[in-house]
Amino acid sequence: MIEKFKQPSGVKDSLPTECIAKKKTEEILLAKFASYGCRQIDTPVLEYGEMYAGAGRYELRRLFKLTDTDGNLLVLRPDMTMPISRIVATKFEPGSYKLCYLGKTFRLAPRSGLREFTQAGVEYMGCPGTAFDAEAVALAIEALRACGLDGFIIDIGHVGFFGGILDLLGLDPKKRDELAALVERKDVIGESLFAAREGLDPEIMKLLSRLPMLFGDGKVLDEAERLCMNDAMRRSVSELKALDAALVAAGYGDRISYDLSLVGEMSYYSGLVFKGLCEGAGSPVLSGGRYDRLCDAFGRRVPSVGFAVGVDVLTEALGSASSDDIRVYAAVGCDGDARSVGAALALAAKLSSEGRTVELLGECEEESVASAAAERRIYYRRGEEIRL
Amino acid sequence: MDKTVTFALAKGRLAEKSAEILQECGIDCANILEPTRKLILTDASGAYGFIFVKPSDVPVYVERGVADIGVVGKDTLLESGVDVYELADLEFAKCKLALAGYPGFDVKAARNGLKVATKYGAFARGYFESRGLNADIIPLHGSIELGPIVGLSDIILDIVESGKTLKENGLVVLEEICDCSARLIVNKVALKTKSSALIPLVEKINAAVAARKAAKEDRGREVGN
Repeated sequence: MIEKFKQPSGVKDSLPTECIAKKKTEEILLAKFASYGCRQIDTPVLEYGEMYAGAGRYELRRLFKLTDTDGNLLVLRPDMTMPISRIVATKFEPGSYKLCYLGKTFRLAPRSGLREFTQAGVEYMGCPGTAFDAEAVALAIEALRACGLDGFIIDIGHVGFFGGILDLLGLDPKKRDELAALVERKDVIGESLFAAREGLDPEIMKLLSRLPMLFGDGKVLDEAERLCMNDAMRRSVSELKALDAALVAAGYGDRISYDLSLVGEMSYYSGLVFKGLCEGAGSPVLSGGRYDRLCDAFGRRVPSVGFAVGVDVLTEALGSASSDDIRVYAAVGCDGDARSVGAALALAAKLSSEGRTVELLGECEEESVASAAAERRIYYRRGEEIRL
Repeated sequence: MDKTVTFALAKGRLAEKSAEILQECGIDCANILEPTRKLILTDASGAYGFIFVKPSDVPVYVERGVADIGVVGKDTLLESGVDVYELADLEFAKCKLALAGYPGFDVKAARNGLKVATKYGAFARGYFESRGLNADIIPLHGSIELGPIVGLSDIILDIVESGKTLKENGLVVLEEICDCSARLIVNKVALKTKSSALIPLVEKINAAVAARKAAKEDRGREVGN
């Protein structure tokens, strides 16, 4: 039997001070997104499992599942991007839409760690091209900055570079995944074992062993350019160079870095990928990228770019900087007389409508009101107001 | 912001060997090599911190970012399945992950219900699944060799160094799975946010390992002559 006080692993209560800090972060993010012309959208927590199947990002075994009354499989949404893609492809006229959201998402974590996440993000739907890529990265920077986050960078990659290498190799899907996992871990030893086992071309192997070290400032793009072996790779590097030039021109040069081996979720993203990294936070505070083919499953091509901020990780990274509690303007107490209770309630309604915070202490002694932390202390005895 | 680089090291021999390499990279590790019960130490310059943990916990400390960098056996890393960068082979603590059992035991013939005793439960499950073998994984914490002897399991999946323990218990290596050695792992965020400290450090460590390897080969040639 489960003890009544127990909670499932991977979920967390937000007690008042944590909740205030978290709400503040959320408000700042949404205000920033709105100021860039994003309109907020909300979707249900429940979706059909079928919608996420084949999206390439989420294995069914990593989703929370329920069975509907008709036997269909339901899941708790693991992200907001799929539902928003569904909406844009099926309920909106073709066009471009800048949308933002705030909501809880759920994933069955393989090991320890959170399984319920609050995400705030933006989706630029029907927005192709480098200018929108640059805008997404710039908005990510502005949003983190607005929250007061210090010492963060946006680490940028492009799935087309590694994709180009894979085109040269012609491996089967299982081996592609295996190689992608090695590159993502920067595991050069594992790569060379893989290359020996699969008999890979030595020229390509040389490139593969260099790939994990292709990270740093904009200069790595020059090296990447020299290493290109086909058009797919050249296209990805030229896109990144154009993006870099735009971001540097906008003054974001000190906030960005590049990593050509950011290749996770290859089947989900189609171009730019990026992560927000912050000193002291062990995992990314934000991640995003371009996913031009995601809406294909809903029958429409909608080239899009977006990112999601992990509100829990971000709030933790911001630390105690935003732990201010509510400030009480008036503390009000009364005796047991109905006229006193009535007067206290009337005063509370008046102050509240003026935008002030009032705390009613109920039927109590004068001393309890006198010792309350508030700007004004009021007590009602037999319906008469006494200022303390 | 705190720019100290924090190492997670496994208590015992791995830590000593790691300290030797770090010493060669110019980090003063004198106090690490001294016997102490302290779990947290810093070097003389204050630029490096060291936390000493159980070997199997090193990947967790690095993945969660409380340590930026760590040294851990490849076998432990495979079992942990953590999301970290694996940046160098330190080429010590070499061993193999292998299947062992009584001579002549045919792993492939045991298609159904193969019983395997191991310390590497998660790795073993993935390994046998990928081979399409339906194995009954029996998790143990030590003296794995006992498994086949007392009839708990058909075979074992374990690390093998010299093979002496196996031999003394009448067991042999049936199949080698992979080579293992100490690996340098780095937190994925720290590599980028502390890159000015970490990248030169990783390069120095790689150079020190290469120098050791070269010296060893030289010695090998001298003995050969």
